[in-house]
Amino acid sequence: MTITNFIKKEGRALPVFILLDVSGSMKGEKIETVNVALKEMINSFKKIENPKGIIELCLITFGNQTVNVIKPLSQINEEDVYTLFADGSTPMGMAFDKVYEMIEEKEVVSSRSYTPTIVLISDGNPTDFDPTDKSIEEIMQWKSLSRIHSGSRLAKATKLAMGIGSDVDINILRAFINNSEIPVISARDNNTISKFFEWVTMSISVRSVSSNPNQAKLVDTYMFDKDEIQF
Amino acid sequence: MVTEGDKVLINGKQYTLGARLGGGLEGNIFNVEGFPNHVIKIINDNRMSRMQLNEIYKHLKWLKNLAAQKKIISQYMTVPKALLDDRLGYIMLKAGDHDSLKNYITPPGEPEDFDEWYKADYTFKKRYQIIANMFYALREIHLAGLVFTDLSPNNVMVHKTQNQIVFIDTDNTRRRTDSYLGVLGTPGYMAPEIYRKPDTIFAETNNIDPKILSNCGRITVESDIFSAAIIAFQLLTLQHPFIGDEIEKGTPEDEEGALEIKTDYIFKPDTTNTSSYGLTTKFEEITTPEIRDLFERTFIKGRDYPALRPTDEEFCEAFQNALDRIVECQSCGFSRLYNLNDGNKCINCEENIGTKVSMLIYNYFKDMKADEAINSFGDYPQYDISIDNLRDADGKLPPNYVEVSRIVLEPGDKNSKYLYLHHFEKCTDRSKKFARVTLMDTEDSVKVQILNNVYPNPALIEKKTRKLTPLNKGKIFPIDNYGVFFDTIKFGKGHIQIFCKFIKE
Repeated sequence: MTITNFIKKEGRALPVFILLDVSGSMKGEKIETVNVALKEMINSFKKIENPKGIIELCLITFGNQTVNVIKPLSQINEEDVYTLFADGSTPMGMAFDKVYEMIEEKEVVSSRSYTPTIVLISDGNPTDFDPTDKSIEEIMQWKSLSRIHSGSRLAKATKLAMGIGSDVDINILRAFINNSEIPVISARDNNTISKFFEWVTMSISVRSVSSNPNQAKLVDTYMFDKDEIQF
Repeated sequence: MVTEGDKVLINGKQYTLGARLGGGLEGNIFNVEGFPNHVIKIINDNRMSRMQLNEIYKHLKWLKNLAAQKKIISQYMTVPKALLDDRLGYIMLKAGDHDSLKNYITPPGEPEDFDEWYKADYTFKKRYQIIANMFYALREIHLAGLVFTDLSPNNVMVHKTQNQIVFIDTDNTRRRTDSYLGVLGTPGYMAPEIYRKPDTIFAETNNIDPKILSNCGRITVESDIFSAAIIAFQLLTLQHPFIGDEIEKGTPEDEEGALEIKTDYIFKPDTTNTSSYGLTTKFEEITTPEIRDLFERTFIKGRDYPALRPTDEEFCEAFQNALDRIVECQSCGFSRLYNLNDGNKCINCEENIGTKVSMLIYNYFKDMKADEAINSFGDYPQYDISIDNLRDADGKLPPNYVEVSRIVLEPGDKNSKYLYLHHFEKCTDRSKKFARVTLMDTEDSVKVQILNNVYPNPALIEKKTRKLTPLNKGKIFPIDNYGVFFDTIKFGKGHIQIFCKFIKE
């Protein structure tokens, strides 16, 4: 028996799910900006020293009639380099269903984990649901969306959303966030996309090293201009 | 947002911000171009009301003036030297040669790196020195009439070689008399009473000020001591005292409850919240009975009753005394505390550490009994001090002498022990080094060197004949035949003599 038998604590995971629209309309500059911002975010997460909550990242894309889990929920490592391409439709509901399954599954997100963060980025309305002229309450009836607010863990999860351009219905993003204190970020241009990733990175980094990650607040939205924030 | 290269004004003079050193939601710390020993903290005043801004400004100004008056505070705390003219922020001295205490309680990720980490950089002995220094520094702050308020490993810096403590992030420091009814601090380190709210309904119906009701929601000296005790416990065991295995394996909500100190102390008798993590299984080997008692008083009864917690001084003294009993395993290099009554197996390789030579220092009350001596100090009226309090380590009740300190010696120059005032008299005051004691390699003789003649006429005393030989600047002598004697000091009606003997057991 030596002291190296001393039991090292398993850290608790801090799961982060990123749901990313890769439909045809994201093609070009938008998806390229997302690629750069994503790389910067992953690099920042790698540099966090002595985290209390160990960041686990899951990358889910939706586009071209399908949902892809690009990175299953896992810690960040050297191989995490992604170049995403955009094409086809916007099956947002399928992405919601995927994240619902993963968070409900104890083997994916263990009961020891801190509450997850789900980040949604889209530049258009879902092709599997039509939100036009619907109120938030009506949108909430959509099963794929209502399910991600059901269950204690999903209900507590922090949800952040950015709509790119004017084609995306703000109410669907509001219904996704379902928290009047967290604004929807509206991106006018690529600059906002970068700022949004910066905001998400900072907020998650602060949570990761906080002495109680479940109580840590989001960082201030001071980097955004007034018209980029919509409550 | 403030960034590197921005200009700020202090007393009308312009300074340029250097690289950003750190920060968080509260604010950011920057180097100052051309002033390598200083840093500037800019407080994040976004979304603050005018009243909040005013309050912080007033508070910083008070802290600055206070530190200018009481020099001792700036020795243990980073305080504003001057406030900025054009922003909410201040300039202060940089804690340059310091390391965050957080590094001491965060073991390396790979278990095989643990040995090197614990034996080379973040040693057992250093941990004891840090704890003694931390309580000493905290005591000075409390004696100055202040409460630190947000004590956590992130706010304690340790000098890399000398282990002195500097508390940083002092923005929340308050006067002890201030009533402060906010939840302020770091989860896991805040005393449980801070979360509790005073019974305002009771106060209203009885027409009394809720602030005087109890310690509920109030930050006090006792709540600082609670936070410091948690830090001390973590430094020793690498585990939080309220997080047992059931919490460690449980949900984040369970952990949250433990961080709000709603669980049992992991060493509370009969608790289910026991721990097998960190060094908790070695707790007996790495602490003294006095230290275990202090933790129990803080974390069991003192958890709910702040007044029952020990004082800074008690902690400081217990850790200072324990420092004299640290021994290192010859075969693997791990340290433990030398146990005077039981076996002394290494905590790592289980090798028997063997019998050590100890130096015992007594106060001898000549021409009077010990209780009379205590009562004669400074001509105070006769306090009822029971002689029971003066039992020595063997549990015996000597009529007229008392053990002040016990120092375990290990052979060789590098293991020399220095004697300070607290070794000769019961006190926690800091002093110069009085003497140096070295056990020779043969382990049957010691070298005593007098560095500072505070007590007059030190002499060797021959055990059989009681003959005195002046020690002058120092001597080497066999421990079986001699003790060391310091001349009498007049105290009231009698005399106090100090003598040391050496034992091997």
